[in-house]
Amino acid sequence: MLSTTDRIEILQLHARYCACLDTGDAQGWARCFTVDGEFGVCNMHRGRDRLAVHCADVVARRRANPWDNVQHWNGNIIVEGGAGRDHAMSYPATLGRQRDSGAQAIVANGWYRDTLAQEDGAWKLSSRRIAFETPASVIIPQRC
Amino acid sequence: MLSIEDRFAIQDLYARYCACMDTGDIKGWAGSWTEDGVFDSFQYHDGRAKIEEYGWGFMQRLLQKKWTNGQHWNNNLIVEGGGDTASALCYLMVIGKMRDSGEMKIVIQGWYADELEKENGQWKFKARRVAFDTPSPAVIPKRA
Repeated sequence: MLSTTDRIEILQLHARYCACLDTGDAQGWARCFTVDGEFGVCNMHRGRDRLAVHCADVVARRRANPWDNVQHWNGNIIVEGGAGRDHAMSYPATLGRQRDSGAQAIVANGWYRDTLAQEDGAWKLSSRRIAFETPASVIIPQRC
Repeated sequence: MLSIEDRFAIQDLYARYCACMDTGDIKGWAGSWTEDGVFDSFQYHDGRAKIEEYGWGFMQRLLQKKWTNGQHWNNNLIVEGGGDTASALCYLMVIGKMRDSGEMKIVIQGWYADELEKENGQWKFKARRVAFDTPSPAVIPKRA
C-alpha cells in the first residue's frame, strides 16, 4: 500500500517529467527514470544515458514543428502498488502555440502506462510506454 | 473533515471514472456509483444497473460522433465533507481526435456536481449531475 508521502512524490515526478521535457532539460528528464529505465512507443529507448540523448534529439527536432511553447499536461493519474514498485497510468496532452497564427492548440494526446520503482529513496519511472490510440481497459491498474 | 487518504481515494475515483469510460470498461465505470446511485445526464438513471445500461448505449452513440479516441479530463476538483459522505464539484473537458482531419479538439466541456458516499470502504458517487452550461454558484461545495 502506498503511503501519502509516496503518492505526493509520484505526483511530483509526473510534474517534473513534464517541466524537464518542455524546458529542454534532457538530463533532468532522463533522471526521472531509473538507471536502467526505458521509454517508447514500440521501439524502446533503454538506459538513462540513451534516454538523455533521445530527449535532446526530441527537443532539437521541435524547431521543425509548426508550433512552439510546447507544454505537456497530465491528467487522470492512477497509481497502485507498494513495496517499492508500482504501476500507474495517466493521460498526457501536449499543448502548443501555432507559429503562423499564434493560436493555442492541443497538438497531441495519448496514454502513459508506467512501472515505477524507488531508486536511492526516490520514485522513478522504470518503464514508460506511450500509446496514441485508445488502449484496452487492462491498462487501468488494479486496486490493491 | 476529510483525511488526506480520503482525498487521494476520491481523486482516484475521478480518474478511474474517466479511464473506465474512455477504454470502454462500462462495468467498471458503473462501479463508480453506489448500488443505489443516480446519474443525472439530462436523463435520470436510477441505480447502478440502469447506469450501466445507459453507459453501453452511450458507447454505441459514440460511434456516430465526429471524433474518436475520446478522453475525459477533470480539473478544479473541490471536495468537502467528513465521515462517509462528501460533496464535490469538478470541471469536465473531453478531448477527441476528429475523424476527418485527425486534429485534436476539445469536443465537450462541462461541470460535474456530485454527492459521494463510502460503500464497503470505497468512495463512490451517490449522485452525479452533469451540466454543459455554467451552473449557479450553489453547486460549489460549502467549506466544511
